[in-house]
Amino acid sequence: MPSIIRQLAGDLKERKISSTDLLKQTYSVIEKKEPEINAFISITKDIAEKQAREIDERRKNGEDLPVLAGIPCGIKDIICINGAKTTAASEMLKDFVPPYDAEVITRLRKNGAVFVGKTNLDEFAMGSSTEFSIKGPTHNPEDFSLVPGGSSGGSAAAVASGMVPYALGTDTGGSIREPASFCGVVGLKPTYGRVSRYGVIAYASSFDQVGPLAKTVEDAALVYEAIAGNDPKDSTTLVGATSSVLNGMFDGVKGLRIGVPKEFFAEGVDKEVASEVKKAIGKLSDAGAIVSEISLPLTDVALAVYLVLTRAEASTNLARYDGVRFGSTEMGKTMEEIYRKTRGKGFGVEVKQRIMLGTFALTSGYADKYYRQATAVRREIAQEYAHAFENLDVLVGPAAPEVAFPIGSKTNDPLRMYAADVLTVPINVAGVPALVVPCGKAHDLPVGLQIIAAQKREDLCFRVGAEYEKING
Amino acid sequence: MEDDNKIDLVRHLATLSRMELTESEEVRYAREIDEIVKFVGKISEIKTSPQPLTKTISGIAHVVREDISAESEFADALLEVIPKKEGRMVKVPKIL
Repeated sequence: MPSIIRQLAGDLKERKISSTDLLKQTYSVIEKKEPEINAFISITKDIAEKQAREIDERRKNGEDLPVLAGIPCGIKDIICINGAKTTAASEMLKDFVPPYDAEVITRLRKNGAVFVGKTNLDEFAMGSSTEFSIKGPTHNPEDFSLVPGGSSGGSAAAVASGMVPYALGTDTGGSIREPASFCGVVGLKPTYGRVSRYGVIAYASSFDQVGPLAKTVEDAALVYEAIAGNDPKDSTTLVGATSSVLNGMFDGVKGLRIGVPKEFFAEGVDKEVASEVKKAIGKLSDAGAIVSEISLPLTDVALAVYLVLTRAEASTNLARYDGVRFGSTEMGKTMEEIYRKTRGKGFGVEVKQRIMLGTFALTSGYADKYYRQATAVRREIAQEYAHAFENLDVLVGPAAPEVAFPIGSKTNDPLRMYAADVLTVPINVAGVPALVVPCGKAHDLPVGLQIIAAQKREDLCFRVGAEYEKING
Repeated sequence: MEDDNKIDLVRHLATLSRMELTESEEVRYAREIDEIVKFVGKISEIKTSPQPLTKTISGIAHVVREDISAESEFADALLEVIPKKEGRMVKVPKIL
């Protein structure tokens, strides 16, 4: 599929359209589709119009501008934009206006991006369906009665419905890749540490990563290159230069060694989904890739490890919402009363459950059995992946075990909801990158092919993704 | 776990987490937390090698910078977002 961003960048450069007019077109599409989709929590028209005007001005002055310059995008409402309300879809932050930009926003600004609005999500990115939001659920553009996936469901739906050519999401356990799969778009979860988390509202800090959602593989690569790289403000970012993923992206898959973990096709994975993904793998094999089946036995415990560690980290990260320093506040006669009332009212049903579970996992007497053991198993899982990549270039499988499900069908059954992430969480647990590319339909709904590489090898994800996109038409 | 014990656990965790819960929330969480704790129990079956936890999953060593106070360009902006303040101070109920 030809890059939409490059097409738009060409049109802007050749003055076929101005950034201001492109933005007007974007808002007219949003106005038309938003009532049925609810992809945005807020629209940042003032910021976007100013950015578009500035780009038009700079272009008029003959400046050579980056490829993203003047092109509209959506930003998940958990990423801080200076002066724009950033709610994390929570009552707790419903009026919070951050006084600074996240590093990814600074980088997009340098690239001349135009921020049209803040996209919907599950509260504090805790969810797989974008139903737990103060703005209400986002609807899947394929079928409005279905969820778009989550937690970056607003970003995925905005891209899938053609409101914006790309959007930023965050992925702690699949929050970019599961919605990409459910909505039929491309999404990347980079290597842990590849993209700065500075200014991104924290959920589980040893898992969270920002990444792009886009219509095409090349578009996702262009956005990834703009935001990736070491940041002194986030000490967990990888040191050293980030190599280009665009170089060699169209070299094909001939001779590449692709592993297919049999656990990604185990019981619980929808048969039609599995069959579509196997067809896609067959096409990669026909294109010259060397495909072999492998086993990652710890896949089965990755979700349990993820549940313990992310809840533990969430319980500490969300301790900062105390009703005193920022965010919503409830009156009380004592500090204790302010905390209890503010947090009881400000957090939603899923967030409170996760905080309590995390508190449990860190409680004296249970910390060894749950938190420390989960940390140790996490290391074993990371080693299992590292070992697999000694002989393989990428691993492929479904992004999700199912297609988009009906709104309201899992909100009272957490374990069934979490099962939607069973094939995405191992990747965050191992800290490796994974790209999701649409591959056919099951039950008439989009299916996503997940391409996983070793740490720091996003280039291989993009190379295989670009080839698949090409042969799939 | 008995139902009463499940509710007691939820109340204890809510106290530790500084969150006021409604009765219906207590009932909901008693069920959910019990189910999830049972589910995650499977991690205890995995053999692991004990190693100190000093690095991120991508191998970056945790670093702590020198604790030196410095001016912040955001000080005034951050004061702006405080719900209750007096002058440049955060206002809270009497603590002692």
